Amino acid sequence: MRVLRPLAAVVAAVLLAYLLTTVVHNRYYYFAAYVVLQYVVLATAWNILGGYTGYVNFGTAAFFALGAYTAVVLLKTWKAALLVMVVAGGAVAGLLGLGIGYLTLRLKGVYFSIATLALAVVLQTLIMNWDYVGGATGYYAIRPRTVPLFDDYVAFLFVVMVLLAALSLSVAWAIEHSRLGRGLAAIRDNEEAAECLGVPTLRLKLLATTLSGALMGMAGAPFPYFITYIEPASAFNLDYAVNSLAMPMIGGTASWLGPLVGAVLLGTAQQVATVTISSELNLLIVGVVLVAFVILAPEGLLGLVRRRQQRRPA
Amino acid sequence: MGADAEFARNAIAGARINAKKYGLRIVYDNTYPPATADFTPVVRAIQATGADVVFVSSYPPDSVGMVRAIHEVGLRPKMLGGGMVGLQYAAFLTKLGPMLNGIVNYDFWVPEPTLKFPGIEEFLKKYQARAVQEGVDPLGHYLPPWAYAYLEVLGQAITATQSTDQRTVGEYIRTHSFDTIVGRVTFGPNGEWATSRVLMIQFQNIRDNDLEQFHKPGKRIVLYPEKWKSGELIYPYEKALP
Amino acid sequence: MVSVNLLLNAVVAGLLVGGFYAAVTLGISVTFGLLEVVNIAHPVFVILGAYFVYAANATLGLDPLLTGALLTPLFFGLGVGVYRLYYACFERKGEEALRGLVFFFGLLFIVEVLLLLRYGVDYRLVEAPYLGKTITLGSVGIAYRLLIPCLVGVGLTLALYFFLSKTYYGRAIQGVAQDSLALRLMGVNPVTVKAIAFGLGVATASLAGALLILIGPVEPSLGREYIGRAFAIAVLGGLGSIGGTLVAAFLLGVAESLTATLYGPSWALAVSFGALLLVLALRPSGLFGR
Repeated sequence: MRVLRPLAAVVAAVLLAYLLTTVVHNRYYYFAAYVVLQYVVLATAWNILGGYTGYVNFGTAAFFALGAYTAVVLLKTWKAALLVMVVAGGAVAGLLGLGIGYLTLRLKGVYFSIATLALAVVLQTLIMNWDYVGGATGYYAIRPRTVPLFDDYVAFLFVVMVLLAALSLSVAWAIEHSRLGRGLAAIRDNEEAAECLGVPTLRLKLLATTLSGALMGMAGAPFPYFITYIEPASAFNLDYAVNSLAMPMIGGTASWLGPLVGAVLLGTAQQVATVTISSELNLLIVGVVLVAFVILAPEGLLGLVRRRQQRRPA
Repeated sequence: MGADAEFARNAIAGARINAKKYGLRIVYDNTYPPATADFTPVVRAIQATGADVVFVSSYPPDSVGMVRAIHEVGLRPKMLGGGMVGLQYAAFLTKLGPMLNGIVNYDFWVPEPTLKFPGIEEFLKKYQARAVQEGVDPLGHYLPPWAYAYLEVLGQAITATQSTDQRTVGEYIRTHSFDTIVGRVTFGPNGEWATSRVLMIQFQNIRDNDLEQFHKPGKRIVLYPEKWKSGELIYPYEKALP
Repeated sequence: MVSVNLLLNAVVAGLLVGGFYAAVTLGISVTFGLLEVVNIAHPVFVILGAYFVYAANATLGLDPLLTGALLTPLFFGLGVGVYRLYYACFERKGEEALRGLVFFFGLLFIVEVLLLLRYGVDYRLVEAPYLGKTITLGSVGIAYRLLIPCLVGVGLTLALYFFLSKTYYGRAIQGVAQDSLALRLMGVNPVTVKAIAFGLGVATASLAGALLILIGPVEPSLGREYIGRAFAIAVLGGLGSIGGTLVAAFLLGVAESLTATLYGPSWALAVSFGALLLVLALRPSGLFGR
């Protein structure tokens, strides 16, 4: 029963998305929706570590880009299928999560944050100097001409991203409804106390960094096909780090729904703003909304809603 | 020497091919990351190799950093420059001033007599008047004439074909020549201009940091293409220094 | 190929740029190191300083360093204001860790975009009569463009060091970092002390901004490139240790410069950040931590 509910939701979401692609044919919507969904995955993944345990990861871009570049290697060497790339991207980024967690999670929270920032720089430099994947020159990923069942490759990518978004949301949901989630919450509230009560804090944290990293890597894997030209500066863009942190903050970090709400709202607002206003104002909006939210609605939108419900007499 | 970025890497790849073609031995071949604060270690390393020709492809802040470091270290190769982005903007021209002398670099349009195509003067007059209000580059020599010429090509094609169908207009552009403010434009079979129009210029006789001098000919001499050549290369580099 | 001369010059160049890095990092050492406020917006304050210096230079022809120094009271005020806001919204409620971080991230974006809207993406730079000169000591050449920022950086470090260890307020700041309850019992308001310290940290940004624009052209998002570097230095030096900051800045500068000279500049950043990762893994309190 527990496993069936999220599984059914994932299948339903993918089916629905597929049906949609047979009806809507304007490619722009798929491009825009892909970006928003990508942020749903990144925000959810970030929240598994940041929201549940309180460890702030500044290196979202590193995990995302690692997934993307794993895909480039597979693509160039074996012409691998997209789903293989996604799984491999997730695996490699997950391993990185485990490694960096192992190195730094025994430290205080801020050190972990700084370590993730440094990690992004080191990784970016490595990729820049690795000519096999294009180095600083970048790499052109030519999409396959056709894909079974779909008229258009971008529509296919959109459905893949729907799958990944649904998957990461179910992972977050499952964590919350398990002993792992309660353990992580204990870490966030008071790590020392949790440790004393016999919560295996380091192991739980490692599990969280691995899962979080893997999901970010999976989000990055289809990126070369989506953008068709990938280079380090854009794959490691700080905007990924900012957004994946801002979205859960705006939605609310306490539950799986928060990052979803935040990503959909902020992501959509950004897409609309980019088309209608300018990309600079777009960033300004993110900044102002972010600051306003952490000051005025510290528990995010969901927290606001909940507080209002509680205030109302039953 | 170049930036870790697509444009710079490609330019360097081209430079390597040319070096091989002309039998030049490559003694230093490196890239630098963005946000490099200080270029003196790099310039010293180049100096230590005793290079005769130094090819640099850099982005604006790095171009400034390189030029300054070259003068601070006293690097004196026989020829210097290439693909340094930024040395076309008024802000950098005036700030670097005499330090630019002798550098051979690419450009798109400069006020030399050989490049006075019909319409360019009027265009610049109009642009420069607006530029002051808008707070953009006060010279407008670098990209604006080309941007205007693109639209001239498109406009002429649409007028001639009486169509906005992409295929028709595209076909017309491929098969005809156009007179624009940057001269006669003809496209080759690969979609690029039939003959390359990127200029190689040398900075000469820059005495101070005044903006006015860059409005006039004689400061940025066209060396290539031959057709628009407006002066002689000062060689070696050292001779062009004040 | 590698001569002693080249190595010597590389080390000197590293020390010079290291002094400048120290100036950029000092603010973080105070606000983050001593006060434990995760002020990742500091680099953007430095950029803000650089733009003010540019504006004063372009319109009034003022000397960059002079403007940077004259602006410190303004930046001090800015810092006090930011801290008061931060305190009222987060620290007082004990919610500083995560939300405070996000607050500063948002602040960073807002300042950056406002600069972008006001000045555009074009690079800005300044003139000063002493910029082009170089002095030569034996076989080592020292450019004024880098020497002056280095000297100012070192001077700033010393000034801050003596202020913190010798004056009443300086000791109070150090006291707040160690035990704010004890301070309160002695009748000193820790919030006021912290506000002063934070103001002081941000005040260094106007001078650091002047140095930044002396060294090279500036554009609004340049600050991002310094976030990692500055935090790396602050951690490397041991959080809150002002002297350690200077030593770590020199170390990082020399490491970058040597890598650039010997292996090519492309690897310079990876070497310094790799070192940071190692330090974090092996000795998290930094090289000179308490």
